[in-house]
Amino acid sequence: MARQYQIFGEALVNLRFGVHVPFPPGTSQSSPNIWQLGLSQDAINITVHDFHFDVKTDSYGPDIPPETLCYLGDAEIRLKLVHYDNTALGFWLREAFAGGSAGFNDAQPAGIMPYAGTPMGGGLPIYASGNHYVGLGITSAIGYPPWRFPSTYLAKPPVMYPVGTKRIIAECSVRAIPYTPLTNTGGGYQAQSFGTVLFDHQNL
Amino acid sequence: MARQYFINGETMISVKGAAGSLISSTTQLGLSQDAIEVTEYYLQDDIGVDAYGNTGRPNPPDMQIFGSFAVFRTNLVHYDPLILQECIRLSFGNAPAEGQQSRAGTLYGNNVPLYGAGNCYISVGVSSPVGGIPWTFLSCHMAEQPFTYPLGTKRSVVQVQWRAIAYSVDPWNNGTGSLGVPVYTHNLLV
Repeated sequence: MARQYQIFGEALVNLRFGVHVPFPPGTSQSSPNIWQLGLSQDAINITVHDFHFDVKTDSYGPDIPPETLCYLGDAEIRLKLVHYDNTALGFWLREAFAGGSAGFNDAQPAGIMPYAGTPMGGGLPIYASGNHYVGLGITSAIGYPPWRFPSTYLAKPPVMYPVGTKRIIAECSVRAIPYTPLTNTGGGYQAQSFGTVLFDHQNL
Repeated sequence: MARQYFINGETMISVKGAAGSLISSTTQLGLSQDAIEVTEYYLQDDIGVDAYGNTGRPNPPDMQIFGSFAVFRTNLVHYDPLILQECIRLSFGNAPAEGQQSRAGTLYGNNVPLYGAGNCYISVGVSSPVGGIPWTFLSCHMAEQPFTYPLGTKRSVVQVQWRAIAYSVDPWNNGTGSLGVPVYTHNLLV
């Protein structure tokens, strides 16, 4: 791609839930559980965090490492929703708390707590029933490569709602991690990070 | 079109608003005392690049445009006061009556297409009987200081300030955003 100004264009945010979350009205339960969340007031900010561990040697002195170890990364996405589906946002918030106490296909709203210590993924494949991570897709209307974060949750803080007479701009903070279900490699179940997707540029 | 003096001619101002309002069909508002001045505002953003010397003062190698809106003033001298009252009522967010408030935070478009019940926008048509280039501002409201109404023994020339935006029910518009959404057209208001 030649060097040029990079313009993402009009950005639409979509969410993909596990199949235990109610599907959008009129959609088949044989298709992915994708909800159109909505539009942001201004730019959606994506920050990728890295985690590196310094390997120190005395010969290099106390501060600068001759080598570092890569300990993966996560991402932080901030968006201010202005034209959005409040039901979809409610499910996203509910799933951020491990689905609350909702059962399968339960439209229970956000605000109900789960068992303390409930795993978000539970070792289940992504988007499987009971996996509370939510896929986040940001689509460009002008064909710029989209952003996809397969496993996210609202976090720190999940949502800030200004409630009053002005239109509510829901300020969302999202954490994306490279979730992987446990795999049995013959030596027992373990989590392997190699090849796990933190983000890519596919459609949700 | 050949180069010539442009004369708009005797300009009639017409309005059209929501179903259920007094102006649910195109209605004459009236005549202006003098020229109707239309000012378009472009919302542009410079792209600063250090290679062009990005010192905080503009020297952009390129720009982006982020839509526009228009402002125009009509000094009404021969007009229908009931129609004007209805325009005032709608411009106050579809208030119950002229002079009353609407709910704080009322949406002008209210998720309804133009001319639908509950949509507060007014289409304002400015005719062009001589020049043949009318102006129609599709989604307007009275703005800033909406009107100045002189009351006395002289004929009241009501100064009305309008603002026209590019209204959309869904700002996503199937991925086209604001593309093709009109602030004004040169079609007659019908």
